[in-house]
Amino acid sequence: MKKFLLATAVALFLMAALLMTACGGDDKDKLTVILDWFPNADHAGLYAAEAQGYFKEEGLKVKLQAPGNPEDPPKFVAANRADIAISYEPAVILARAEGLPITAIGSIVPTPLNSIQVLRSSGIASPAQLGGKKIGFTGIPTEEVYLKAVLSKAGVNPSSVTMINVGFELSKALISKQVDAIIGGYWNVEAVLAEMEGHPVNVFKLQDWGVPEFNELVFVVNEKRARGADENLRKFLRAVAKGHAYAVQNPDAAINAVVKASQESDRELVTRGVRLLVPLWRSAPQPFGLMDEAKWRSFIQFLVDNKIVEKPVAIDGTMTNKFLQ
Amino acid sequence: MSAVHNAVAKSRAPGGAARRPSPLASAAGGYVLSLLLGLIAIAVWQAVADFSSLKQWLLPSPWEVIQAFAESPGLIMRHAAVTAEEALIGFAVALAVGAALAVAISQSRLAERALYPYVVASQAVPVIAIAPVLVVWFGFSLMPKIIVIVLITFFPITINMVDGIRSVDPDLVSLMRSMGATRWQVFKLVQMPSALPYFFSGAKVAAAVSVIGAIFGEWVGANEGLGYFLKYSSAQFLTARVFASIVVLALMGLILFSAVAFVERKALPWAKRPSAQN
Amino acid sequence: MAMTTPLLQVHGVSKTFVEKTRELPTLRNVSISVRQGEFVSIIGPSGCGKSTLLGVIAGLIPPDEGRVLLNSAVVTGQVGLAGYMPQKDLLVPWRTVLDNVILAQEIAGVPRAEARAKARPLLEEFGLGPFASAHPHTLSGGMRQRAAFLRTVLFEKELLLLDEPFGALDSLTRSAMHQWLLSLWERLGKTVVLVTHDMDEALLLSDRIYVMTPLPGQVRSELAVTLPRPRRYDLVLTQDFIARKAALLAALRDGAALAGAA
Repeated sequence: MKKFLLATAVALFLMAALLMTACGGDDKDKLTVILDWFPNADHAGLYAAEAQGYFKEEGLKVKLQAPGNPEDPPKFVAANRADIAISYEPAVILARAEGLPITAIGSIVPTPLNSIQVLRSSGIASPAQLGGKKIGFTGIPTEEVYLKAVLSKAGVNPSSVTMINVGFELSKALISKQVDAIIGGYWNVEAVLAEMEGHPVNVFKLQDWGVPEFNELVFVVNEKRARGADENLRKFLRAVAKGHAYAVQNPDAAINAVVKASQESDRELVTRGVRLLVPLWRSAPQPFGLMDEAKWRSFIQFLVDNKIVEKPVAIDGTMTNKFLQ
Repeated sequence: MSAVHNAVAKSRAPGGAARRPSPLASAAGGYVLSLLLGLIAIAVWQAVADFSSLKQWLLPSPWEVIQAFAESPGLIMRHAAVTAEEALIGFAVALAVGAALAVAISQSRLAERALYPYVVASQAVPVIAIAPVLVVWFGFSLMPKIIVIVLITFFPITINMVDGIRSVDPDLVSLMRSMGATRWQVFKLVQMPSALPYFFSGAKVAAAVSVIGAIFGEWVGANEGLGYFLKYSSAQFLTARVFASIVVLALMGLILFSAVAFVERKALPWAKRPSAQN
Repeated sequence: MAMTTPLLQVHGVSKTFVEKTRELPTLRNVSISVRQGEFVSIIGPSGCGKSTLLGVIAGLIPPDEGRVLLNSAVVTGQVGLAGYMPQKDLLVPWRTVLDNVILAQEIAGVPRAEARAKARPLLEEFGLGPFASAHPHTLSGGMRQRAAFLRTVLFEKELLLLDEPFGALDSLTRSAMHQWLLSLWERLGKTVVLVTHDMDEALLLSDRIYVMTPLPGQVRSELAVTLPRPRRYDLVLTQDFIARKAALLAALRDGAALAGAA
């Protein structure tokens, strides 16, 4: 009996200790950044900034963290569990429509990386040939909308295709021929993965096929914070801009930074992905991270027209460039 | 004289060893057989990987898995240590929670009726459903993993232990009463010791499952641990790493289970064990 | 003969067990008395409520009617006043034999070391000395009963209530146990109420025998067993013994007939 009481006491003590560590410290200049996915090529600018000490120069302690679930990051930020999250413009708009208090403050990738991919061996050379095919997606409703827009532009009846939820490992579904095409894969990640496995793919970029341009990856923070005047956010974005500039000039160093910080990342995958992104970053609007308000509006309208959101969300509170100016 | 000598010599196996098998041989024989089975399985696996059309990214060969270990042993072990810590702490907490619930349920009809439905219902809750809540409340700390592990593993402990406490012969309880024992004395002297073998049964099940519980907890939200490593490697088609992780996880479960079984043998010297020689 | 108050008096005890809607009258107006130092047996056919009667005396089963008195004090429903030995030995497997027999002492709050010290010499006497550190599952049936008996004795109560203690043993072991119990009782001098369905056992061990009817159990008759003490097992072959056994058999049949007629 004594043993049980002792064990219970120990367990309770442990729980208390753990609870205390769960409520982290309140370091003013510490920023937790939750990535959109595992550390990969898209984050090269961030990891380069970290490795080059740009955050430190701005007096910031930045922690880059992978999420458990790609849908989590906006929720973290809305609940003030993280300072900054990386999310997707469509996700931000949808979240705003649901009343989540998050605001985009800067862009990492200003155009869609999202694309439709088919195995080159399938002989499908354009979306016009997707009629009657099986398309794999991750279950996110916006992808259905993109597909419809692309098919309509290509002159294919949208109801002639079957959409199959294959989860987040899209490339596997494509390579194993569970599906004829996938949507939701990035042309600098999933396409590269497939090619590395010996299955080159044809990529149909969404913005080439009738989907209005949107920012693939943006930084989001809690709306209240965005309405304030937090200098740290400004400093963060400045350091990030420097990091991307560095990555454009020194892609190999940036690649090293990613792989060093995240040893779980495949070097080859990161390398190829970064090389594909560098031209994009080079030609991105300056200062780095600046977002086009007009493009946000037309994309919001696109979602409204396709009944993904009931009515347009206000730009105010959804996105702001003020920390870049 | 020589005839007797010959007869004695014949009754010995060549090499001079006595014919009667030693008890040690049967125990060691079991382990050898287990190892042999494992090696055969690996050989079959290698053959399937080499000769079938299954791609490396779907089923890596044993050799590729070994290579994955050799390439980055430090990385894998670092993640393994994180998962091991989660599993151990979660298991310990589950033991305490499970035992406490069992005691409460077995001692009071009211507690039983009040708590039992929730105990059972808790097992139907898919971890994925509560994951966002856990992660938003507790972040990426140890807490969500502990909660997930406890959720998954407390059940066998509680159920087994309640059965154990209830398994006490009512005549024994009467006897205790006839000797003037208080309710607490009945609990301490008879019910708890009776429950001990059942508790260990439940603890063994919980031990084996707590490792997978740690993985599920990591999938809720983590930056390290074999669950994180496994998921990320899978997404990058690094399937050999996935299998390497699985091997490590299996070993962890085995070690934890064996540790509990060892403690059980020490704590229950009176329990009869199935013996190959009987 | 000195007219001292009996140690144990049972007055008019009745008990009916109710199971859902079924009523099972088990004891009807049972009265017995036992003087200090006496060895009294209660005999009757199986299922006649003998065990229930013992349970009432031990305080475990509250009677519907009647009282139990110990040294003239009313103790109906009070536990912990008599050494009760049920049919099953109930030795707990997780304790050694030594720790099993000190159970009653432990409950009374005696420190383990002291209880063990007290029990060790008695273990020797009971022939269980070499098994002190063994676990019950290594003991034979007869040894287990002896251990259970020792546990009962170590409860240090004047009154011992034994419920068919040798029922599960084979007849050879049983007769050995009778011999053993006789010599032990002669030395310890306790007051014993023994429940049994074995006529030889009742006649060999007791000073008096109460004969009970089948359900609902009533005391049909009382036999005094005036065989000289100390008794030895070969007594069972004597003419005297056989004559008494015939009388006992008749009393049992009589009881059964009575119940049948009722």
